[in-house]
Amino acid sequence: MRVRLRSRVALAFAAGALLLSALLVSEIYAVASRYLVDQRDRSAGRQAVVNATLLSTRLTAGTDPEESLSQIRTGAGVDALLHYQGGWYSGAVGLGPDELPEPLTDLVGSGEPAFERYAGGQGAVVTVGVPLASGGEYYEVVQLTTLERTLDTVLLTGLAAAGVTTLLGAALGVWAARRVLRPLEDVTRTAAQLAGGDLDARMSSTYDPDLAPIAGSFNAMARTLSDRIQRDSRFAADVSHELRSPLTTMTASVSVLESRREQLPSAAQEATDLISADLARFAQLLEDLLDLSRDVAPLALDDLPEVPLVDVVRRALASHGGDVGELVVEGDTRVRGDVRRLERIVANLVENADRHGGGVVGVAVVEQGSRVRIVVDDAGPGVPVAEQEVVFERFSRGTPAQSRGSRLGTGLGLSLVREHALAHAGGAWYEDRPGGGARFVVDLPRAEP
Amino acid sequence: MPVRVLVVEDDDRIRAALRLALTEEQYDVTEAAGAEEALELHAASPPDVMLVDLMLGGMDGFDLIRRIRQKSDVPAIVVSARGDTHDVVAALEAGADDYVVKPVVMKELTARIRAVRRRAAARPAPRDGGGDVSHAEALVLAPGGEDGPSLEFSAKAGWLKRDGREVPLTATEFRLLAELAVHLGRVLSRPQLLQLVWDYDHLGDDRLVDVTVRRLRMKLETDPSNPKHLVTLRGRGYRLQASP
Repeated sequence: MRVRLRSRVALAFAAGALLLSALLVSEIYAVASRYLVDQRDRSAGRQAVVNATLLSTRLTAGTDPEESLSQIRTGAGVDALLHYQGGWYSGAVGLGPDELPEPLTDLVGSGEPAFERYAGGQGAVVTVGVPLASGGEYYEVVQLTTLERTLDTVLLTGLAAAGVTTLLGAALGVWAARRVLRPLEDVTRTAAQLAGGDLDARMSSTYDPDLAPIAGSFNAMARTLSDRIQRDSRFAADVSHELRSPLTTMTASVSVLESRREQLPSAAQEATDLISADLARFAQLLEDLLDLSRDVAPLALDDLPEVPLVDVVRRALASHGGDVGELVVEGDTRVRGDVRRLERIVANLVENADRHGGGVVGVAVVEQGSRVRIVVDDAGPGVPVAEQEVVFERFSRGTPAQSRGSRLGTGLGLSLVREHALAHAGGAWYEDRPGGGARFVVDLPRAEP
Repeated sequence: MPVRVLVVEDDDRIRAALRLALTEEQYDVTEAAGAEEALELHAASPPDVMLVDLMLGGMDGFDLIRRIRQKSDVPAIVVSARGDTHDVVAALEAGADDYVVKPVVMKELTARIRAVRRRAAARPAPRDGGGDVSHAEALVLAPGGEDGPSLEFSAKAGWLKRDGREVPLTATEFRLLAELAVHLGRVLSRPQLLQLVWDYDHLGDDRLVDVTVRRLRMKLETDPSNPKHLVTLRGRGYRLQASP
C-alpha cells in the first residue's frame, strides 16, 4: 500500500524530531549523571576525611570509641562505621562490617584511603574508607537514593520532552506538507472545475517564485483550451447563422413554387417536393447543430424556473399532432429547467419513434423517488444490444431496415436528447419495451418542493 | 384592400424571395434595403406591418425599431438569423411585437403577421372613440392622490391614462394589458398569455411575455422594479391588480 505523500512528510518530520531529541536527552542525562555522581563522591570523600581527623584526635585523647563516634556529625543519609583495636562500632542500627565490600576494607586496612560505589541493601551507596592516624579505620556509607531520584527525574523529563518534540515534529510535518501541497490542491480543484465545464476557472495568481511557473503554465493551458473550445463552438454557431440567410431565400422561394405547384409539369413538381423536403431537413439540421454548439456547460438549475414536466410533454405532443396513444401521468412532475430544451427532448423522442419505431404507442411522465422520468414507447422492432449506445451518438441514423427511407432525420435527435438531459443533471437511455418495441427513458431531477 | 408589408432587409436575395413569397400570399410588399430608407418609406406612408432584419448596414434594426416607436405603434416583427436571448430581448425591448428566427417557414411568418394585425385591429383608435366612453366605464387601477398618480385603463376606448394623460401603448402592450384586465386579480401563466396575446398555440417563446411585461411596467408602475399593479408570481405567471 502506498502511503500518502502528506503522511510520509509528517512521518519523516516526526522521525527526525525523535532522533534529534533522543540524542539530546541521552547526552544531557549522561553529562548530568556523571557530574552529579562525581560531585557527590567528592563531597562524601571530603566529609569523611574531616570526620576521620576529628575522630582520630578524640581516640588519641583516650575517649571511648563508642562515645567518640556518637559525637561525629554526619549528614542525612550518611552512616558512620569505626574499626578500632579489633572492634567494630556503628553509628546506625543494623550496619556492620558485613555490609562493606571486602576489597575496600582490605585496601583501607592496609593504610590506603579508598571509596567504592555499589548496590547496598537499600539502593546504591558509596562507601568511603579512611585509615585513622590513631590506628583503626573509619568508614562512611553514603546513601545515593536522593541522587538517583534526581537523575530519574532528569531522565523522565528528558523523555517527555522528546515525546512532545516528536509530536510537534509530526504536526510541523503535517503543516508543511499541507503548505507544500496547497498549490497542488489548487491545481486539482481548478482542473476539476474546467472538466466540469467552467471554462473560466483559473488558478489564483501567486508571487512565490517556486509556484508562479506552475500557476502560470496551468492558466496558460486553461486559457488555450477554453479559447479553442469557444472558437470551435463559435465557429459552429457562426456557420449555422451564416447558412440561415441563404436558407431563408431558398425556403421563401420554394414556398412560391409550392403554392404554384399545380401549374408545374410533373417532373418539376417532383423536384420541388424534393427540394422542399430537404430544405426542411436542412433547417432542422442547422437548429440541431446550433443547439449542440451552444450548450457545453451544465445549466445552473437553481436559477431556472420550476416547470411541470407534464405541461411540457403535453405541449410538445400537441405540436407534434398525430396519435401518440395514452399519456400516463403519475405523481409530482415538476422539474427545474429550460422549457425550450425540455420541449426539444420530448419532440425529438417522438420524432425518433416516428422515424425508426413505427410511431409512438405510449408516453408516460412519472415521479420516481427524487426524479421524474419521461418514457416514450414505440411499436418498432426495438434496438439491438450493440446499437443501444450508438443511437445516442451524433449522426447515427439507425439501420435502413429500421428507418423509413423517405423520412430521414438529421441524425442528431437522440444525441440532443442526451445533451439536454445531461445539461439538466439528468440522463437518457434505451430499454426494451415489455412486449416488444423500443422504450426511451429520460430521467431528470425533480424540483425540491 | 391588401395588407401593406414593409420588408427591411439588406440582403437583396432574401428581400426578393420574401417579396415573391409574400406577394404570393396576397400581401402588398414594399422593400427597404436599409434603416434610413425604411424610415423615409414609413414617414411617407405608414405600412400595416413591418418585417425588420436586425443586422443592417448603417443604422441597425434595434435603432430602427426604437426610432419608429417614437412616433408610431405600427406592428413590427423581427426576422433575424440570430435567436440568442440577448438579441431577442434587446429587439423586444426596443419595441418589436414579435420575433421570428430565420430561415422562416412562410406559413409561420404569415401566421405571425395575421396575429399582430389582429392585435392592432382589435384595438379601438383612442382619439376617435375615446371621448365617447365615460370614465365611469374605465378600470381604475389607482385612484390617485398622496400614494401616487392615478391610473385608469379602458379596453373599450383603447387608452391607458396616468394622471389623466394618455400613455402611448403598442398594439401588443395594449392587448397584454387588456387580457390581464379581463382577468383582473387572477394569475395568467406564460403559456396562457402567449396564446391570448400572441396567438401561439404551442412552442411560443416565454421571453416575449417577460419582455413585454417589463415594457408595460415602465409605463404602468411608479417604480417598475417594485411593481404594485402588474406583479410576478414566481413559477406561475403574472397578475394585474388594482390598488387596495
